[in-house]
Amino acid sequence: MKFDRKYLESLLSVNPIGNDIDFSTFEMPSGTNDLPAGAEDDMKKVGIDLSENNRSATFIQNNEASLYKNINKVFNGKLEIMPLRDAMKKYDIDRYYFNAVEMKDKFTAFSELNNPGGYFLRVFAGENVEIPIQACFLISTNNSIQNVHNIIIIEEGASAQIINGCTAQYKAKRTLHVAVTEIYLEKGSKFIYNMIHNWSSESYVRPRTGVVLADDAKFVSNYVTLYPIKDIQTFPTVRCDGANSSATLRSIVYGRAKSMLDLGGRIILNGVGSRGEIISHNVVADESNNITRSEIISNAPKTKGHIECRALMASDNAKMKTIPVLESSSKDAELTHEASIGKIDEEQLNYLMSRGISEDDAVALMVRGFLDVDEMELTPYLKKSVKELIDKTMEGF
Amino acid sequence: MLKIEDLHVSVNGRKIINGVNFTAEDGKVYVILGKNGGGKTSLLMSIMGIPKYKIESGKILFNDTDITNLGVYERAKMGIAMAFQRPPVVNGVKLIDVVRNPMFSDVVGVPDSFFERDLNSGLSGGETKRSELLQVLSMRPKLALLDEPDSGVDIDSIKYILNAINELRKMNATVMVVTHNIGVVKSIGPDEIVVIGDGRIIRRGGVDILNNINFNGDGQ
Repeated sequence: MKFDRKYLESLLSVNPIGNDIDFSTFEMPSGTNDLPAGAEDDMKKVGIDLSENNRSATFIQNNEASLYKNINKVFNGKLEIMPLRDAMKKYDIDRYYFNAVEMKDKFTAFSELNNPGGYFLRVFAGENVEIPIQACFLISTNNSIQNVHNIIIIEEGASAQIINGCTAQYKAKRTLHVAVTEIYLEKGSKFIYNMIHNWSSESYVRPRTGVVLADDAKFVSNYVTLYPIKDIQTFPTVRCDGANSSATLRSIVYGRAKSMLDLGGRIILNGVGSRGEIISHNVVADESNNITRSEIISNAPKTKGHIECRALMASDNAKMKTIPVLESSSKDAELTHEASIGKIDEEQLNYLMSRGISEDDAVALMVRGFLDVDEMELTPYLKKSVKELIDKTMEGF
Repeated sequence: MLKIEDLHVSVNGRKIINGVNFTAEDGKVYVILGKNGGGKTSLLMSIMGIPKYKIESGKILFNDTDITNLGVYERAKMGIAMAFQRPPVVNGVKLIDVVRNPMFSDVVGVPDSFFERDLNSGLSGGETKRSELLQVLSMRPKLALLDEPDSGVDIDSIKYILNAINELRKMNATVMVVTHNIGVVKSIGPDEIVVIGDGRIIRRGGVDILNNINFNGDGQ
């Protein structure tokens, strides 16, 4: 263990921003070696394709068990994926372990103290893995905690993208997902990190994500959550340490039911000429409580950053708060932000209705438009999948 | 088919239509003239049922049905369609989401790429007007309300506007066109000209009344 146990235990009382969660109200069941009944359909909803036709590699974790890992033949020698526990036996990965993510709160400490699952992914230098890798975190047992630690390394000049699908089965109503994810982009590499969430309306989710970029590396995160959730709080931190590195964090958030969605991200521009962009589109409906925290910090010359947060209020009982922070210690940094919170535009609504579109359909069309995925750097297949998910979500809006 | 009886309309408490009586027959083309702010657009918006245009009194009958209190969607479903003068930008909603029948793209000179663009976003004046006409044609309306389809457009676009009106004629639609352009009026060859001012109809007649009308913005 990299950390002193007493230190970790002392952190178990340190709750960061967001509602506190009592670990003792959950259990940690082991997973089974079989895919639970109905899992395939649940996984489809978060972009996981078990036919694997359009995937280069697959990793599936059910509760705490690593259920499945596979690399499609054509990608052998281009990448490797395995349970993190196996990678720790095989390699010395100490310098990647709690480096991008800081050990500082009860969730990182809990993860470390409880032998996490999760995967180790490495894309070899110079390889272009154009077909997405997929990883699924499934919770199939009620009242349970899933504990994950992932490490991703994109080696020099390599490029890849991953679809991370996270979902709880119908029977697993009350769940807690704790996930540490550390991503390292070496010089000139490119990585697109797609995260699709479909937890239950009683799910608590605490991801702790850190990304470190070397020179000329490019990182894009596309985060999509469309279904009700009890409580998620995450604030990934991206360090653009390399010169001319760039990071984009995009999120499409549809707050429904009584969801508590405390989301956002921080980009730290340490490299000369590095760039960061945080774009968040929220539809806030029902009694959802959405908070978007976005932070760009410039510590180097010739850096650029932009924050855009747009929210569409679809209910009088919902709440939206946007907290943009720009910070600079460099005289020639260019940092900007724009934020807006508004309701459905009556003029646009009447315009669409004048085309013979009913009010419900017109609102759904506008919401779909607001959650536009065209700007995301998705493969055509994934773009289609996400659009279908949004369409499905809109049914009966 | 369209009958307006003593219509009074206000916007934000300000009276803008002050007792309009008007009847339009099936399949005929009416050109609406008049000075800016006289009530031309307001009349079309009121017929379309845009809520901002509050009907204070009077009636609008369409095919013998009283539509005065119907919403914009219900009126559209009955066959009323409007080409707006300044349609709103609707980001993320594409023309193809609205135009379910793209067969009229040739009539208004719209390329296929147009359908994948966001509604009214980044369009030139002429493109906006053609997009509006395309949407109206695709609804195969019984009553088409065209609000200044020719303002701010180039010569090519005017050709397409005339094409669209001819297509509406073929559908036996009643057409009400607001314009300021005498050349366009002559090219359209309307069945009747209606002059509106101060929220009222102040003159009606055939194309021959053009000779007695001052077109320098006041239409009188």
